[in-house]
Amino acid sequence: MNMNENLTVLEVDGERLFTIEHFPEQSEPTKAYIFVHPFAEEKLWSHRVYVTTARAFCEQGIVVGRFDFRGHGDSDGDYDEASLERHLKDVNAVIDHIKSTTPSVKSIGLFGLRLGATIATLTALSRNDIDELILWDPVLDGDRYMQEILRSNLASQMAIKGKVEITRDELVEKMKSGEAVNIEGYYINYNYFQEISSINLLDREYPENLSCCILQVVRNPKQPINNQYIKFSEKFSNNPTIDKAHEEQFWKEIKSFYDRADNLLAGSLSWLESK
Amino acid sequence: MKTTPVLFKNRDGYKLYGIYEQPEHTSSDTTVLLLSPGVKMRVGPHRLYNKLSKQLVDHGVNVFRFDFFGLGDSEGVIEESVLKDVYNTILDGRFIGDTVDAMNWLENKQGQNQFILGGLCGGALTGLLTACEDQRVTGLLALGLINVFEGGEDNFGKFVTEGQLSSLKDGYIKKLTDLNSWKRLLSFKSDFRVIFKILLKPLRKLTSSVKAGKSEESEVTLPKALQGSNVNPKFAPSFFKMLKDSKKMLLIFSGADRLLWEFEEKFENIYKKKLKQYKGSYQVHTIPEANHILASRDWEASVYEYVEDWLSKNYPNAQSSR
Repeated sequence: MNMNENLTVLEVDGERLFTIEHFPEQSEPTKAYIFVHPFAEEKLWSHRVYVTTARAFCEQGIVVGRFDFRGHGDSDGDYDEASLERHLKDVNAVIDHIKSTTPSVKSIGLFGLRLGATIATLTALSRNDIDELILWDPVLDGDRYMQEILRSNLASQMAIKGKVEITRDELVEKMKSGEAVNIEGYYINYNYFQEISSINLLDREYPENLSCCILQVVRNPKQPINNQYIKFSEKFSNNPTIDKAHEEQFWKEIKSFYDRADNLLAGSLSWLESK
Repeated sequence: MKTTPVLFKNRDGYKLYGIYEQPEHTSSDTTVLLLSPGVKMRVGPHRLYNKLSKQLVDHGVNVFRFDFFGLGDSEGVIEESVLKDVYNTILDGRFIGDTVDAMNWLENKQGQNQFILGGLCGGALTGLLTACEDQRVTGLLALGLINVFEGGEDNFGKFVTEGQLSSLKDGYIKKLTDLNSWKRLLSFKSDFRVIFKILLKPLRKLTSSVKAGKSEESEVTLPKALQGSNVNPKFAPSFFKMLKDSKKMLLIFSGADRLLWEFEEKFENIYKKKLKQYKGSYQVHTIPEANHILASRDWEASVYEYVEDWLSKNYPNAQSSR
């Protein structure tokens, strides 16, 4: 495969944002997708799937912009400086960059996995030039997600000390007092914890022109689609698609080497084709 | 710090992505290559490599972090579908070629001629296997250096170390009062190989000196005591070649990581006599309680201290003013 990929370092608030653009072979591409990655170690485990998905989108004539949020990957900043505002600024910077450097692009979509899907959705709500969303296993309930995140701190305590010395509530108290809490080497501050915890995508209203494809990851093909996802899809009036895809939870350490998510990709590409 | 994104081709024509980082106001002819650990990319777990890179650049040396073939942003497809199989190909030297190609790029395009190879786990081992064969490499900076193949959980009982047994012993004692544990035992669901090894540990202690004595007579080829074990046969020859060639080595292990026990029991204890003649030629440090990926600021700070000290002593002229 002959790749046309471009490494760009954008600047946001004086900090560097590491970005890779994938350009299709056709000369005047009309559609672009910005890939919004999941957070902390989930970003690393799923990185290769993002790369192969970006290359597959590109083969369909779509420009793809991938980037590292500040505090992630090769971008500047530390994780404990994270805030929702910073995240939205980062995505917006990449969207604006693609729009200004590739003027043939008329339609912009956002793609994301897990919390990346959540941030993609919030970005779409914050501006009026996003046409499409492809969301893989989006986090709808930020509070539940953050509780999961804290649980991994407890698991680390168990592994190291053989017992839980600091409970979940005490971890929250620690954050409240200004101390960042360690989640597998990523330090989370209280403001960020609060901001993410307060997200509930079911509480929002979605614009009529925004079309959305929600794909739920199921480890067993017989597993039904989550009711919450069905409710979420019903929030979109522009012919939303909700489906499931049989995959492993490749954003965690699993026994398989996961460098592509074929079922999720097939679902996404067939939705794009149907547009 | 000056950061340059880099695309270079490996010997097979695949494009590999990397980041070259240099001190802002000084120049150096020494570059540390931080080699990707396992299947994670050039940033390492919790961006450990980015943070370590900053420390190294502050010290005055250059750093190159890049993605191997089929990983991170680089081109190529890895055919193995099981993670353990990918790890084992890495431990067998899969990425030596990419590492040499990265040094070639640095030499040809950046005028670098002295390299230190570093990394965590599989990255450290790739560094060792490459360093012992390439004259341009003068040192190894290894975090959690791995000397065994991934036997994985399937063979846990077979390859478990004495250190692991000690840490498991307390857990098994607690289980004596647990009904479910007895149910598991009586329904043959428990790992009997591990239980027997714990029970036989005192006996093994008595005979271990005899075993070690036998092993010491062996050459660098795999001694009898390790045959049939999960030890990587390339490890000892590479390690001793480094020592013979007077290349510098800094080994940092995590106290709560099985790799420390693997190294002590399946390398240091086995080659005790042979290693004696190289006393002081390499440094080993352990960070108490640290986990495999060094996921805490305190543990990272310990790494920086050891690295800083090692660089100052072994590479006092790595930095030159511009």
